[in-house]
Amino acid sequence: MWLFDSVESLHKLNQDIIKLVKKIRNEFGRQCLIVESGSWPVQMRLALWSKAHVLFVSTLKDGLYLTCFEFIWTKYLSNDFANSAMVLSEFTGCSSQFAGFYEFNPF
Amino acid sequence: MGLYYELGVGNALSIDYNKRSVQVRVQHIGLDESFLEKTMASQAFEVARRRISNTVRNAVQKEQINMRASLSRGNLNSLNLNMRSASLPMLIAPSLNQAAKPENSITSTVASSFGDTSSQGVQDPLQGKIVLASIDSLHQMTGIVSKLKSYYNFLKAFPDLRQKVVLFQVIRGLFFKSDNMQGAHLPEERS
Repeated sequence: MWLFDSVESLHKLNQDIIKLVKKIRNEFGRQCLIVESGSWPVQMRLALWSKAHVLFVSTLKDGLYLTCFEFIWTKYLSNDFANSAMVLSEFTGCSSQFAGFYEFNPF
Repeated sequence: MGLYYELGVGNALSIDYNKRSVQVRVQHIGLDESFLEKTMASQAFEVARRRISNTVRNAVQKEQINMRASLSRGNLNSLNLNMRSASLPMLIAPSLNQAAKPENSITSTVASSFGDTSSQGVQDPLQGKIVLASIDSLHQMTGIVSKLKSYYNFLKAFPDLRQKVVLFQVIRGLFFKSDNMQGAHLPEERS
């Protein structure tokens, strides 16, 4: 991981995230927050979308976020469209394309 | 725009701008519907679904173990026993099993399926829960820190939802021992 070692800010971000995760787990219990690392293949991603009810995206700036479209397609194909929702940051590129989702400001 | 340009590598347009050469590429972006349909019908998709619920089950079980441990610590404090912590679980385990069950109805239902990881005929741990999911890469722009902070505030504000909500966060490139797909163990860090 030459990239990770050379970029100090990424290292700091990693530490911050782990600190927050441990804080949440210590206070509210491990079942509230499940964190996985590593890159997930398509099958895993689709399986996760099919299990999830809410897509929670908080990007600060984005081009086009295809994950939202993937989520919607998965819900459409598994006939679970009515029971699902999306919570998107207002800075995602695709937030202007949808209607009927929950929008928020991450700042 | 009066810029000098030429054809770059891989059909990219390289434009000279401000003494730099900028590579521009125009492409269609989208999802292949038939590919998604095929993937969702495949065996690997079902396996993946099972693995995800196994991960959640692991987390719930670990939480249960933590709860018992903290309970034992509480008991000991009240009894004023001076013993080494290593020998404690063996001593208190039988009495704790009875004490821990009425504490929490959700964990006790999962306790009935404790140790059974075959996932055939076992209750889904995500049943009756609201699942928030997200996949991000490790980068400042994805706003993971603000997301986790907001989730923390949310749990603090609504104590009755703590047993009902799960945030399944996947972070690409994070250095972290996760609750894993492979069964790796995170050291227990309750104080």
